This record gives sequence, C-alpha cells and structure tokens, in this order.
Amino acid sequence: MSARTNLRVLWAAAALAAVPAAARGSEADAFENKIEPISGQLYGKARRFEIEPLLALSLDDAFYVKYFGGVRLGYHLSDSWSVAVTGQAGASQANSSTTLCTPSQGCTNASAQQLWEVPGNLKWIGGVEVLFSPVYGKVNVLGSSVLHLDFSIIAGVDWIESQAVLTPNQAAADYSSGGGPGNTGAPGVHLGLGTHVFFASFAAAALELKDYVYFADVNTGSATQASKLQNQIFLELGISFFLGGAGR
Amino acid sequence: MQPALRSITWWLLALPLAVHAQEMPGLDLSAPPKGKPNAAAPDASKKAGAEPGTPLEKAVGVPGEADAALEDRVKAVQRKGFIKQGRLQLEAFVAPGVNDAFYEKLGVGGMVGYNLRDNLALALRGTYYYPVTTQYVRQGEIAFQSQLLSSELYGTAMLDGIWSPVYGKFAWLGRSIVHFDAYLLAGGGVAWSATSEAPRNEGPHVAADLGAGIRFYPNSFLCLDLGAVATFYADQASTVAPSSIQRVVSVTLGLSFFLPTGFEYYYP
Repeated sequence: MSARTNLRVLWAAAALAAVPAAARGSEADAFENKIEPISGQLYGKARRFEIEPLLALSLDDAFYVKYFGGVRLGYHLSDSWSVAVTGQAGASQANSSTTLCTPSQGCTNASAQQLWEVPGNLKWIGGVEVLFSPVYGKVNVLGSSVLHLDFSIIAGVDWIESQAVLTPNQAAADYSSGGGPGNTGAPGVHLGLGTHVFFASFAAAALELKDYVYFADVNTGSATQASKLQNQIFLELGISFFLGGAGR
Repeated sequence: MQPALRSITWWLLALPLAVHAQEMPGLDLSAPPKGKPNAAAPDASKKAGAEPGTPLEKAVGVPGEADAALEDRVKAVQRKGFIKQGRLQLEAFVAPGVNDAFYEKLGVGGMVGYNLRDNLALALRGTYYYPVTTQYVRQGEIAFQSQLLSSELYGTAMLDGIWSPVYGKFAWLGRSIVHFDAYLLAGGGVAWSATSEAPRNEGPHVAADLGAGIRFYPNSFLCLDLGAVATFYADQASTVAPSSIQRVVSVTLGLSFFLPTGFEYYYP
C-alpha cells in the first residue's frame, strides 16, 4: 500500500471517528433554542378548597394580650386569587403594662374594676376576606433542601366583638353591685400579609400577620366617651388542607 | 500498511466505541432492594421516548431525542441570580416600632455594608427614632390613676454581622422571576435615650441587636430589604425605678444600592 493510500485510510478513519460526535452535536442543536426553561408552580391552588385550623396571638397590645383559635374556609378562584370566611375566638389576659407600682406598696396587678375602663378585651372576630397571591417562590435552604411557598396580600371586612369599655363611674357602680361590663360589637376591616409553605399538594403551613382596625368607645377624661380608632395586630399560624382540583 | 499506521487506524476506529461505552451507565453490582418489583424500568423507558409523538418529541421535532433529556443522570445546578461578594452596600430604611403600644417609634436610618462573602457581610447601621405618643397613654392614666414610665429612645449606632444562608427565587404572577435571599443579623453598639442627655447625662448605653429579613433583587445593583430588628439596651427610665433591659422591635423597610453596579458570576 502506498503512502498516499495510507493517508486516505487515515482520513477515512478520522472521518468515521468523527461521525458519533457529529451526531451528538446535532442532538445538542436539536434542543438548543427550542425548549425554554420553565419554572413551574409545583403546587397549584386553582379551583381548590382550603380548610385551615389556626391559632392566633395578638401583638403590640396596650392592655390585653389575646390567645385565639379559629378556622378559615377558603376557595381559590385561581392560583392568584381566593376568597375565605374566617372565625376565631379565645381568651384575653391583662398584660404587664397593667402592673401598677408605688414606692411604698411595691407592684400589684390592676383591679378588675380598673381593667373594665380600658379597651382591647376582644371576644371573637368573624369576617370574610380576599387574598391576592402574586408571588410563588422556591427557597434553597443551606444548599440542601428546596421549599415551595407563596405570599399573599389579604384584605377583609369583619365583625369584632369585645368587652365594652366602662366609664370610671359605671365601673365603680358595676363593681359594687357585683355586675360587670357586657360585650359590644363593631364592624371593622383588616389588612395583612400571608404565606404558605407547602409540604405536599394537599397541605401547607400558613403564617399570616393581620392588622384589624375598628372603632371603640373609650374614656377621654370627661363624663362621656368618644369613639376612637383601634388597631389590633394578630399573628396567625395554621395548617392548610387543600381539597379538590388537580393540585398542580 | 505499516504496522504502526495500522494500529493507529484501528485505534481511531475503536475510539467512538470507547466513548459510547463511557456514556453508558456502568453495571450496578449492588443487590436490588428487597421487595421492590423491577417492573418500573420498561414503563420508564416507554415513557421516556419510545412512544412516538410525546410532547417532548413534538417540541424537539426529532424522534427519540427525549431519551437524551430524560435519561440525564446529572441534575442541573442553577446559578445564583445575584452575587454580593466583594461589593459595597448602601441602604436607606424606615423602621416603625411594633412592640410599644404607648410610645410608638418611627425610625429612619442608613446602613453601609461590605459583603466579605456572598453569604456574609459586615454593616454599620445608624437609626434615629421619632417618638409618637398614642391614645393608650391617656386611657391608662385615666383607668389606673398612674404615670407610665418608659425609656425614650433617640437613636442607635450598631456594627452588625449579616449572614444569609437562604436564597431562592419568586415567580411574579407566574411570569417574571425575582431573586431573593433571607438573612439573620446580629451585632452590638450604642443607644442614646433621654437619660443620655441633661439632666442625667449618662451618655450612650451599650446596646445589642438581633434581626432577620428578606431581600429582593430586581436587577444587578438594587435590592428591597424587608426585615425585623430587635434592639436591646439597659436604661433606667426613672431614678425611683430599677434599671431594666429595654427592648425595641422594629420592622425595617429599606432600599439598597450595590457598588460596583455589576457583577461577574464565579464558579466555586
């Protein structure tokens, strides 16, 4: 075999060797610019019901701290919009700002009669709300696990039932007669932020921060009371269960 | 053909086979899990692309291309969308207080930080507080016939470490993507209150702070910072009352600029 023939054999061998690489190149080209990367929403909520038992703790209280429990029933019109009805009730307890200190007698708790004269002793709250969830996210925690979550803006209208605020004279009279203040209700609104952290397609942890705003009659130092705007912040923690729909 | 040239030719012809052999998964010599049927493999291969006209095949336009994508054993690692290492961070923020119903505080401040690493920064933060007396002070005075003692915080200067172990991304209405990270903040410094000035002239108080937050990165040099910071300092609101640790919790909402304004991605 001549040197020229040898060279042709070498070229042919090189061309044969390159054939699979060319095939792989065409594979890459086939994918290139044809499949866009899509970040999917793994846990869908559209057309699903949501049931959430929840616990609520009041924040930034002047006189009473509240420990409530409740439930929320919602329906997701889409992945971004949902409506819900909520109800919660529980116990209120006088906080540390009602501890009275004197140089001679030390510190004592405020009496029941004194506590009847201040606002914030809520009994229960019921309302309807709309949630807008424009944000769906994935979180990488310490480079190991991925959490799926969403964020919501919440707005609603409520009926807020609370202990009526008595004037000092009323409180003294009721205290001496063995009575006490009744309850009074007022309409209110709330705004808030919330998040779901998904465990599965049917369950998620729910955390919400809401500011309830309503009017209450309070003492102003004169014989009559005045209606003043009240703010009540609640931190609500619940477990959401999603029912119906495809879930993704 | 000369022996040497013949050998080279055969090696070149055999090379594609060797490459193909490397692409094939090696033999698994471990025992299969007990009680787990091995029937999934044929189904998987069927779903992977043997069926003509799968959505992936249709998208690619080449029959069988689905095999290459779905049989990939090495998962993709996505890059971070925002790099902070070696960059200066300037921030202006507002910080309303959320834990004092009687004397609310509206804080405004600034921060200068340097990112030592992508997940670790040192920052100098300064905050000035405007006090707001609420209706509950008067209502408490009426009900309890007493005076409310409270430390009046004027401002703080703190040196903080910021650690951000969590990063991720959000889809906004399923369309645009926004990168974010979450951080923890801790540090120490000084706090000025009403007792720092005349008539008591006690000077600044030693203070510490602890916080957490989340930062959103809409582009290469801007970030929105939402967090909560608790500041602790010792103060004696009245000389007749004992000194106590004061706690001011604020929600911070800030806007940060990063310098330089751009970054280059680095591979660890």
